[in-house]
This record gives sequence, structure tokens and C-alpha cells, in this order.
Amino acid sequence: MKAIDGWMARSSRSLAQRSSRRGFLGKLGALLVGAAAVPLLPVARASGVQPQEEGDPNTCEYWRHCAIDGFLCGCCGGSVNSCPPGTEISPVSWIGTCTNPVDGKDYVISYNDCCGKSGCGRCFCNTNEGDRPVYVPSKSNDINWCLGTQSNIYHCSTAVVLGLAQS
Amino acid sequence: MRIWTLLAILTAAMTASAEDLVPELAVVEKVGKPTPHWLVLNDPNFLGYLDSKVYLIDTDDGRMLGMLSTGAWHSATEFSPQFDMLYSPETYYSRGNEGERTDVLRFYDVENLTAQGEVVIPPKRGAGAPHRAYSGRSDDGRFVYIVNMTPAMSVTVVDVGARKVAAEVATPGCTMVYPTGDRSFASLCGNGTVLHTSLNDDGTRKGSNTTEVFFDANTDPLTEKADRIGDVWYFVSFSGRVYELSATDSGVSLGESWSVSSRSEHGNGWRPGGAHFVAAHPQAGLFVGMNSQGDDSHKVSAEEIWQFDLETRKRVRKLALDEPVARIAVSRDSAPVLAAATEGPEIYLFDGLTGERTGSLEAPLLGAGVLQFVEVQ
Repeated sequence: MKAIDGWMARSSRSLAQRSSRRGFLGKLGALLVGAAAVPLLPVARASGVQPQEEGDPNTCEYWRHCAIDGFLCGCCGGSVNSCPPGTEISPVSWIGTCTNPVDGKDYVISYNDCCGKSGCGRCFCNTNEGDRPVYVPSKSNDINWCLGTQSNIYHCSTAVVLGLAQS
Repeated sequence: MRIWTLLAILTAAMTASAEDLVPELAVVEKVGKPTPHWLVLNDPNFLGYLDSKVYLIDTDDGRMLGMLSTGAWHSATEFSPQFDMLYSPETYYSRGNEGERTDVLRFYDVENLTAQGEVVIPPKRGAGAPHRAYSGRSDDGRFVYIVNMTPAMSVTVVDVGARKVAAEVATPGCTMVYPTGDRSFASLCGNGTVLHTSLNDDGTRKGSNTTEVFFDANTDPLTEKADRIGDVWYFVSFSGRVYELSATDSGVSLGESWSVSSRSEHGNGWRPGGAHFVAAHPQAGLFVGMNSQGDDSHKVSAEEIWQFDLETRKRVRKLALDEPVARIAVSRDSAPVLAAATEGPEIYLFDGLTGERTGSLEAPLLGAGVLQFVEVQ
């Protein structure tokens, strides 16, 4: 036990010398923000079943696009849930809640940006249902969400179904 | 024989006039003495935003005076109290859209619109749809504040006199900067409060205070768009309530809130809307861009501009518009000009006191970004 205590003490001192509390808190904070953005959302995770859909995914009127602000990746070499070749998908995003007209249910949509190439310039949409100001980041589509990516240069936006919204 | 004589005379005449001609000398212009009617027109250049721009335009005669190239993601421009130096937050990558990222606060002298150095800042400044409040300046001109969003929220404080980063100040849960004196700024928070951050003389964080909860960020949030008269910041909520925030270095106090629309106007769908729909002036009052598109129309351009007396909080008039207007700003002088930018390329000009349309300007094709009038102390 004494050996373990000694090892723990040495490790702790070494860690304390190599890192700052502020740095640790910063990283922890970033981790918590990231964690809050995805796994803790009030959604029921889809269990292998995708929602029945209708409409053209490359239009602003497509149901998943109720809170989008940007170029549709489906018009840029990707799709509603994939990034165009050579771009990088943002690990964090803003979310919207959109009603699927086929089943009348509300779904949580994650609008992950695709990054690293300049603006696609095709199929621009700005719908803003439930959009909130920049100081509510998780619901703000004004923010450039190319965050945590190699480059913060924005190319286009996806609209990924995360799950059913729970009221 | 006669034709040869005529040719000789003509040749002699042409030689003489060529010898008298003084050749033109091409020069590079300089910018003259600024007036409060000069407009700083920030252009995010949405389809090519790696090459954002800043235009300087004299609204009195519509003349473009010059331009800055401001790299990627430029939102708004700060400037010295004498308006002899511009400070521009910019982002660059070593290979255009990729490679090593460098964020800078670049300095430009106004006379030549030429870069005069820069301060490298942490590479995490907030970007996206342009907002005026992504940066700000202390009232005495010493510090420039730049919002960071990773999405962790903080503010980089640059000492523009010493040309160095003075501090990075955490603003957890709160963002945007609204200067409130020489050594403090306010930020809006997701929990319905305002954070007031105080600085020491060296720009480091002195302390902070948070107001009580006074709005609901989910049901009726304050927009980031705001304008200031003296010590009072005017914020407008999605539904059209005006919140007056008195703020100085010593603290923040909330005034009463009031509505820009009657119950029936609200019922008919009238809401504040546009990319920046608030402008305030001591004599002209408060201008708010309004549309009739109902809930979730906070980014839909304004169909009318409503002008309010800030003493009585009554509407003075409605300014009619040929085309919807995305952004407005008002000059700071006693003969105020209200500039109202369509989605492109026209900017309408109004007499801020009478509401009379006085002219228009040509903006970039895709419309203007943040509009700022020059202030010269």
C-alpha cells in the first residue's frame, strides 16, 4: 500500500508540474460543452429505424431544414447526412427541432457543418425555426460551427436526424 | 502642290500641341478629413468570405473613399477615438482555406488605408453571420475586445497602445461585447442575465457581476443587435420589447422594458427583423426594423422602419421602404443620417430627424455587412 501511495503522490506531483489548473478546467469545460451538445440531448435515440420521409432534400422546404442557415451539402457533393469529398465534418453543431410531415412527430436535427473548403455557394437556405441568439450556442445557426476541425472555413451544412424529440 | 502645303501646316500644328501637353502623373490618393457622415461598410463577401472587405463611403456625396482587404470572417471594425487608426479582427490560414491558422488584430492608418502592423491573438475568435458585438473598444480607446467561441466563450483584450494581448477573460455561458466605459464591458448570457466584466488598468480581469434573470432566452430572447446612447444600451427582444441597460464601469442597472408594437400589431405578425435592426440616436430616438412575418422572423428583413421617441416611448413615424432592409445604422452627429441596407445592392439614406428619404448608395452586390458611422472625438 505504501508503494501505491508513493506512486500516486509522485504521479500527482508530476501531473501538477506539467499542467495548470486553468488548462485542466478549460479542457474540462470544453469537454463538458461538447458532451452537452450531443449525448445529453433530450432525444430518444433511433434504434436502427429511420423516419419515413417525403420531399426533396435539396430544397429549403425539406422538413429537416426548418432551422438551417447555410448551403445544403446535398447540392455540393454530399447529402443531407454526409459531407462532400475532401471536407471535414464538424464534431459539434447547433440543433433544431423539426416536425416530420409524414408521421407528425418532432425530431431533433443536428446541423453539422462541413469544413475546410470555401463556401459551396449552392442551395442557400435560411429558415430559422427555433433559432436563438449566439449566446445560446446550441440553438444558434449564426455561429460558424466549423469548430474543433482542422480549418474553420465553412463549406456547407448537413441535417442529421439524432432522434425523436421528447417533450 | 496645294495639298502638300496643307499637310505641312497640319503636321506643324499637331507637333506644337503635343509639345505643349503636360503628361498626367498617376498617384495614389489619400483619405481626407473624416466627418460623422462617413460610413464604414463592412462586407463579409459571403460567397468568398476568405476575402472580406471594409468600404469607406461618404454618405453626403455617395463617394467611395477607399477599401481594406480584411482576410476571413471580418465582422466589424474598431477605430481610434480620433479616427486616425482602424483595428480589424481577421483570420488567415497559411494555405488560404487550410494550413496553420493565425488570428490577428490588424492596424490600418486611415489616411492611407494601409496596414501598420498587427497583434497576433488567440486563434479562436468567433465567426459566422456578422454581428457588431463580436468586437468592441473601451471608451478611452485603449483596449479592443474580441469575442472567442470554441464554443467555450471568452474575450481577448488587446492593448492597442502597447500593441499586445493584455488578457484572455473567460465569460462562461455569456458572449458578445457591449463596452460600458473605460475598463468594463457587458455580455449576454443564455440564462437570461447580463454579465458585467471589469478590467484592471493593465487589461486583466478585475472581477465580474451578473444581473438578476430578466429575460427568457428560449421564449423571448434579447437579440445580439443593440445600440448605445451614452451610458445606455438598447436591446430589443424577438417579440419587440425594448430593454434599456444603464451600464458604466461601476455597474449595470436595468430600466423598465417597453414594447414597440401594440397588441393588435403583434397579433398581425409585426416583429423586429433583419440582420441588424436597431439604431439609436440622442435626438432622433430609436429606430427598429420591423416585418409582419410573425414568430421566427427575427432574421427576415424589415418591411418598415419604426422610429420611437425615447422620452415618451411613443412611435414618431414609420419609414416606408421600396425593398426590405436587412441592416440599419444612424450617424452620431446633430444632423443624423440613417442608413438602411437592402439585401443588395442598394442602401437607402434618410434624414434621421424628419424621416425624409434623402438618397441612396450602391453597396456590394450581395448586400452590406455591419454598418458603422464614423465617430470623431
